[in-house]
Amino acid sequence: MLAIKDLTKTYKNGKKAVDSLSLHIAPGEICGFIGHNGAGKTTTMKCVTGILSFESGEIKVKGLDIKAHPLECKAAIAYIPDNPDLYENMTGIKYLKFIADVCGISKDKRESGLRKYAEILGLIDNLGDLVSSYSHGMKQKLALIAALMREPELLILDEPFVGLDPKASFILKEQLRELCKRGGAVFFSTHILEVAEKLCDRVVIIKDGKVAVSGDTAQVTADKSLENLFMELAGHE
Amino acid sequence: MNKTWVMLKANLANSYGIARITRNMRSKSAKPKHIAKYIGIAALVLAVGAGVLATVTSYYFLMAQALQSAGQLDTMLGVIAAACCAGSAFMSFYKAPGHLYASRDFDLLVPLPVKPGAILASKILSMYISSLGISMLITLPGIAVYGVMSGAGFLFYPAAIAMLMIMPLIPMVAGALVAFPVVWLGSRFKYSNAVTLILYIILMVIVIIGSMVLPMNMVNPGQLSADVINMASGLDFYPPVSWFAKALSGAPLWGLLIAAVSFAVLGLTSVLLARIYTRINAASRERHTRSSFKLGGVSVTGVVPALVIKDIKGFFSSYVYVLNAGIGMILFTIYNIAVIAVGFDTVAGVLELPGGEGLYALISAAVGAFCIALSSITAPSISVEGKTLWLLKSLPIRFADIAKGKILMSLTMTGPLTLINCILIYLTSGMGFVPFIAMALALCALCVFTAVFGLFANLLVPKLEWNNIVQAVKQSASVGISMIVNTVAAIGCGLFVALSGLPMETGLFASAAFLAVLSGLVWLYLLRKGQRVFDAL
Repeated sequence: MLAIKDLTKTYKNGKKAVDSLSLHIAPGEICGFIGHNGAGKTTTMKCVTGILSFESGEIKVKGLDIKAHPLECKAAIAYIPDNPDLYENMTGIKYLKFIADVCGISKDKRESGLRKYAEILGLIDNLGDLVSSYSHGMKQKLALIAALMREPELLILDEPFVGLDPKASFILKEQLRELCKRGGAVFFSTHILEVAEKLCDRVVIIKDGKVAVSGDTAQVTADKSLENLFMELAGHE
Repeated sequence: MNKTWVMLKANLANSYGIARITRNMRSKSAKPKHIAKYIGIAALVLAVGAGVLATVTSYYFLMAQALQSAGQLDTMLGVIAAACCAGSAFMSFYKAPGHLYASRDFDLLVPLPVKPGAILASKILSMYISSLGISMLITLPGIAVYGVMSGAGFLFYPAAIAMLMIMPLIPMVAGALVAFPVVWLGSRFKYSNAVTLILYIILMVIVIIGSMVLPMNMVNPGQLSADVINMASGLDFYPPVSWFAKALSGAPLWGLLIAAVSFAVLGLTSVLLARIYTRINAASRERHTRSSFKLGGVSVTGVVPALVIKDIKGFFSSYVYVLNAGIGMILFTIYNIAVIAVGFDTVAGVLELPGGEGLYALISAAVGAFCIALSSITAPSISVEGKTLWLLKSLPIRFADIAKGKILMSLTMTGPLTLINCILIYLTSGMGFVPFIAMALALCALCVFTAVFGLFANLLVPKLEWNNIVQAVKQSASVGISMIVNTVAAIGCGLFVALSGLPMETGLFASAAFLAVLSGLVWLYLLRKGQRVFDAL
């Protein structure tokens, strides 16, 4: 579903945020992306979603190169950033309608998807309110509805559990598994290592823009916890 | 005072992108590109500044000659001070809502151990600094001309400059005071943004009508000093104007009085209004959920219409955006309503335009062109995306569609109003049908050009990081560049119509064709290179 090969991204100030990073996520997999602050997680995700350009390497979504086929790749991806800045002057429903219009979602599909996810995330009563009146968690839920309503093949989430209440976190985990059962894939970053350990089929630990560890969760952690492994890699043995 | 200064410094660094410029200049790889960009912007600003400077200087020179021959040269000092104060008052009236009430850093500053008065003072001073350049541009040439013609000593110049830097403080405070009740009243309504916008437009009309009544209109320099003397004598109601003249005529204590009163007014206002300021700011930001939505059907719209609707909502969501980018269309409409209400000759007399029924259509078309040139709605349209730009970049849409959406949004705002105003001119002027069609075509072509060029400029020099929308819609390079280019295009077409010797309608048709070709060329650039530039933002 997602194949990143030798991705390198250098910012204008010369800082190499991502350095020859490679990873692979198969359909049906949930991949956790772990690393300390500033390790390059968000940069990698932004390169995959077409928000940032990169100078070398290759990113393929469903076998299509993001640079050569940006629209096809973006049509398959739904992305939620760590701090979703949405259109605050719109009501929730208008925002969802905008996303559905731009993504070409049919009337039936948008109505059923929107109702389903708004109901299970408990936001349906607030869809008539302005996004500017939403709390951080409500904005996060709105962004999730917009993403799930599209039924993406690849869902990319940057710190998705920050700001969500326990019920919404639980529902999100269920939905991620459901999406994978349908043949989709999930790529998400998190600092909550327990969640990553329980939820992910694969984990990728990134350090200073490079992949430090990558593989099946069970194999990578072996006889220790993901937290211990992460602390070892971070140099806190 | 120290904290006010610290906040002011941070605000200025943020507003004018000083940190970004410094960072860009340190980057070895991108340095040549940035140097070229900054040199280009500086050259454009200098060229326009030089043009304005030359015009203003020649105006003051003619005025000084007329006053000298009447033995009243000293009256000129009062005129300069009046220009400084009136200009500052108008600018602050216009800028106050954005500078004082639309800052995103309000939530950041209020929890800090800083007195609300210090926050208010830093905001007023920030507004003052943003207007200082224009204030100096319209007054310093007068000082230079007066100094040369009166044979003033060396100390005259620094003293005059120092006082001209202080003089705008009281008008700035006055502008802030005018904004207070408007934003306060607006903040009490559910649709606070719309109410504030309507109140401000009403207030703007009142200010424009008021300025027609006050003896502050431009004086025809060819007419004698009598006009200037009358005007100066009519300004007695504002004492600092005469204090300024006295201070520069050998009584420096009056200068100290100006400084003392100005700083006292700023200090007192900051202290007395601090609590109300924070309350109004908090109220205008207050949002609450009703949690009573019932989901019905969700209609389907095409990609471009969805983008247009989104951009129209974005435009009207900020009265600062509407007042700054839509000011031209508001003024054009006010002009036409005024003509219908009081007649063309009266309006032309007040605006110092050439009168006479024969010139009505031509002058109105010129006013329309000038107003459209001011309406650079697309020039900040990418900048205002700010932190939400990730959405457009991550969604499966082409830049061409985004560009169409923004251009159509601009045309939705300018096109219908331009046509309505053209029809009003046609109905009231008695002009022929063909000249009317030519005028409407030329003005609509200018609307298209301002929309397409504004987007082009914003794509090349966007300002995506801002903590006050004023920085995006008013203080950004793309807005300045667009206004200059739009004005040059409008003046160029106007000169062609006036000087080509062709019948007016032929000249207007040719201008429309020229603007259409220019718009087409810019649109081609956007289609070919726009996606690449947009992706790199």
